[in-house]
Amino acid sequence: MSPRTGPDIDIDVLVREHLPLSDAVFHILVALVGGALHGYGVLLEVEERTEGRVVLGTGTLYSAVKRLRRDGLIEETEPPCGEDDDPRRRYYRLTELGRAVTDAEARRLEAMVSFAREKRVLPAS
Amino acid sequence: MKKFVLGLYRGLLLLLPPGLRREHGPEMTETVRRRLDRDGAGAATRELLDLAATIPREWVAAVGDRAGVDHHAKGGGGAMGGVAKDLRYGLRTLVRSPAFTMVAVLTLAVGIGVTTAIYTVVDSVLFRSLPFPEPDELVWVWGGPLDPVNRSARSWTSYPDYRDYVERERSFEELAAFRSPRVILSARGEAPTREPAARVTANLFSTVRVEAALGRTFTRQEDRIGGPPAVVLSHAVFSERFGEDPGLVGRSVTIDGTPHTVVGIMPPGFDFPEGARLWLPARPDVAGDDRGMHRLILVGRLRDEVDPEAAARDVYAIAESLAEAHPEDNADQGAWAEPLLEAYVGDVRATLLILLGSTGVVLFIACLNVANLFLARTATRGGEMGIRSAMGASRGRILRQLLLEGLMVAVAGGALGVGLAQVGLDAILALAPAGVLPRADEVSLDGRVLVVTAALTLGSVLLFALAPALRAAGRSVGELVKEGGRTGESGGGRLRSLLVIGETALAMALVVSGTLLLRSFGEVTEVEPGFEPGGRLILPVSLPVSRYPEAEWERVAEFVAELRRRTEAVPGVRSAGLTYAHPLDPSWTTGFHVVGRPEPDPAARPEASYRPVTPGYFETAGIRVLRGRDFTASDDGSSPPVVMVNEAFEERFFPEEGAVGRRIRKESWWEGTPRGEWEIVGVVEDVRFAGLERPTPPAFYFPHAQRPMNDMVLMAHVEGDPGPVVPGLRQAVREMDAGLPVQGVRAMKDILSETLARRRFVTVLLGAFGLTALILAGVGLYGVLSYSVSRRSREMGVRLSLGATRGGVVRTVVGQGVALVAVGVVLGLGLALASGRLLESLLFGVGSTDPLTLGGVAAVLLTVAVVASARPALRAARVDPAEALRLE
Repeated sequence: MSPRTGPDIDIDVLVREHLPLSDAVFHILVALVGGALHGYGVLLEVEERTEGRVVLGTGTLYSAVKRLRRDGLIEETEPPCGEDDDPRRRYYRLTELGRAVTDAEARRLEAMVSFAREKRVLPAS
Repeated sequence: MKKFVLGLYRGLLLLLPPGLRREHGPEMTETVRRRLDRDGAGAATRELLDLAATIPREWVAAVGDRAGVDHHAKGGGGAMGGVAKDLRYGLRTLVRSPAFTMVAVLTLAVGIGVTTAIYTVVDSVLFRSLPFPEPDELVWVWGGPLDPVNRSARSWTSYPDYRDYVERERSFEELAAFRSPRVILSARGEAPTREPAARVTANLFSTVRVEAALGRTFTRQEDRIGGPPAVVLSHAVFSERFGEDPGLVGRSVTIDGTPHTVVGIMPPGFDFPEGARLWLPARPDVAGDDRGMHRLILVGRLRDEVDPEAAARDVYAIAESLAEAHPEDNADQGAWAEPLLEAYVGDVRATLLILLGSTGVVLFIACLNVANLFLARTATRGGEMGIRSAMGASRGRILRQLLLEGLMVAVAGGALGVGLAQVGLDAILALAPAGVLPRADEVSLDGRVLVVTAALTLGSVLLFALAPALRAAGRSVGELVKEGGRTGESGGGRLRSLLVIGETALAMALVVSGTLLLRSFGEVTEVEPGFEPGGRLILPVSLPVSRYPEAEWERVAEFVAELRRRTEAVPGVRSAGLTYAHPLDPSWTTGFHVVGRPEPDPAARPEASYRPVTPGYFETAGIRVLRGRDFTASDDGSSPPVVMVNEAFEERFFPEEGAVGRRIRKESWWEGTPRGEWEIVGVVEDVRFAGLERPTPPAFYFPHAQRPMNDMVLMAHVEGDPGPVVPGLRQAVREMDAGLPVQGVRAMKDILSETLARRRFVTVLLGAFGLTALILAGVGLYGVLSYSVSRRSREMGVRLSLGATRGGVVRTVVGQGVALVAVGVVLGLGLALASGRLLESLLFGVGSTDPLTLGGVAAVLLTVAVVASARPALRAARVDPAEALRLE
């Protein structure tokens, strides 16, 4: 749980503090939207989803994981049922705050793309 | 391969800040493993470089956290963001050319690793102090010839002389003396063991300023004739044989059959002098009071205002006056002082410095190679630089980016190098036989060495990244774009060729040095030792003075003779004999007088190596009797005194008339043994007891029955497998006296091999350096030629289309390579001659300008040139002229 959540703190402010996200972090958070994954799983998911354009390094991944955990955007969790491989594998999932931040960043990016479309930098969708 | 990469990864993980490492380290290793399984070698480079980039970023973040800096990784803001961007960009570029990156990183790692390992050894041995307070104030005081030309000869002093020194000296705060016998330590209920001991004057401990950890050291009373028998034990003996029982102090143990009270235990690691495991008072006995018996070594602590040269003059003057006052014993005995540290490392210093110099050369070659690699890269990226500049990147920005790339390679190379250094250090320490490197057990990579490595790494960065970076950044955009697309040799190519020539010259010098040492080693192993080492076993036998006192010398003589007979009866033993000093033991020297000659001339002081033996010893050891006869059983206590000498003795003292039949005079300290004049009855061949590489000094051999020493060495010539004979030897001794220790059986072959150990060690190391230099030079040449060929593809195409044969093209490229190396070889000749002169002290049997070696190495280098040129040459020949012309 994020350290500073309390009834009188506006969640919106909390979320905005984390924006903008770096590319790597965004990819990691989006990868976790579908459910808990372990580290290697995140790497594979990102690589597949971007069709090989984005290949995250392990160092990059885990330094991001460490930071995201500290900031309360993800947390370690039990391996999902049905996964019967190595019990030592550590799984991570988004927290409430993490979901909110991912959502906010996606919207921010969408808004930027909209502006670009308006000025005809990108073709209209 | 995968295991290696994983090991590397794990090693690099150690460089992460502890937080991340502890939290996710194992996960990272596991994830990388799976990546490698899936994606293979491409993933390896990517992951290693990713980690290399993560390390500084995390440290920066960690430091930033401490300072309360906002740590959200924002995309483009501020200087931090800029650096991160540049790092990422640089990382991508490096990953995209894995061959370049790996070769550069590995080359640097090898250079830095080797240098760090050797530097650690040299630093530990040469620069770290001895474990005494203010060790630079400690000096040895040696005897030596009065004639100062032979100054570095070290001989020993006698007890009466020591007392005179103490009385008359003016340079020392404390002056102590010791000698190092072996004694028999018996603990209740256990087998007795022979331990290296030191008989010391009571003030030895205060001279080196080390106190007992438990109890105390000796008092004056204990250091007198008739004083209470006391012993101080080392921590090693204390823990190995007495289980660190604190109640031991005050109890009694048996030394050489006599009970001694344990008065103190020394701290762990203290074994001064010469590996002593227990200390006894030096107190003079009857023999020790003989002024002619030089068997003490002196050590002193200088007064504050006195330096070693002044102390040396002081003791020399005292020695001179003693020589005048006691001509029979001290003729031509001078004295000098040698700082302790000097003596501890002196022999090895030259060797270590040579090794250090060689590693510097290897590092330099490695840096030249990496410089070459970066030069080539920057030239091909000229176009990219031009475009970036056109897009608004400032010159400074470009510089910074290039520098960061270089820094990443340097950091990766440095980190890998440290890992290699640790591996290399372990290998060196394992390879170095005991005693070759003084204080080898104290050697470990320490902070200072890492600082030096960091400096080396940064220095390398400046050397190879900055120069090409400046070159690129200083040009106009147009130039750079043109250069990027241009084919043909550019100015950079010339510089690269120069670098290769430089590398070749250095490699030549290094390989020549290695080869000279290799040949020296070969020569040394060919030296005839003067005896037969094969199948010869030795076992030291010491008769404790308490049970075999000197007054009962006839018993000792009889014991030794009987032991010899029994040993010859052991199955498998062909013959046996006993000697005071085995064939590779220099023993000590003692004076004598040639009968019929005038008073000895001080400059030609008659001293010889003292080596009592039993009959049958020479036959057992395989030492030939050249003239006269060997000893027999009838040369005993009641017959005329006889002696045998070696060839060196005969040549020195009786060069014209021969030694057999001549007489020498030597006093004997056993009551009732033959004394006075000894007739020389035989001459034996020289045995290299002073070392294989030195000429044998004069030696004389006395019959044990006429000079019955208590400490002897039993030698057996064994037929067939020595294994089953060993218990038989021990049994023979135990049957005669069960209280004698019987450990320490050794084969002469092993002892001989050990004398070669140091030389072998240096030779192997220098050989390895030479090989490394050769490989690096080859790689460098390959790189230059590859690059040159790729640049000249258009030229090759034109040539081929104009009718040149493919063979002709191959010859051109190979010729280019050979030409470069040939110039390097010629330059290298000069370097090799210079380095050879530095090496002279280590050479044996081969001169530093040996033409066979020089020519041979030159041939090898030229062969390497041909081999390295092969692939680029074949590639050049395969160029399709139409393609090449079209691409242009």
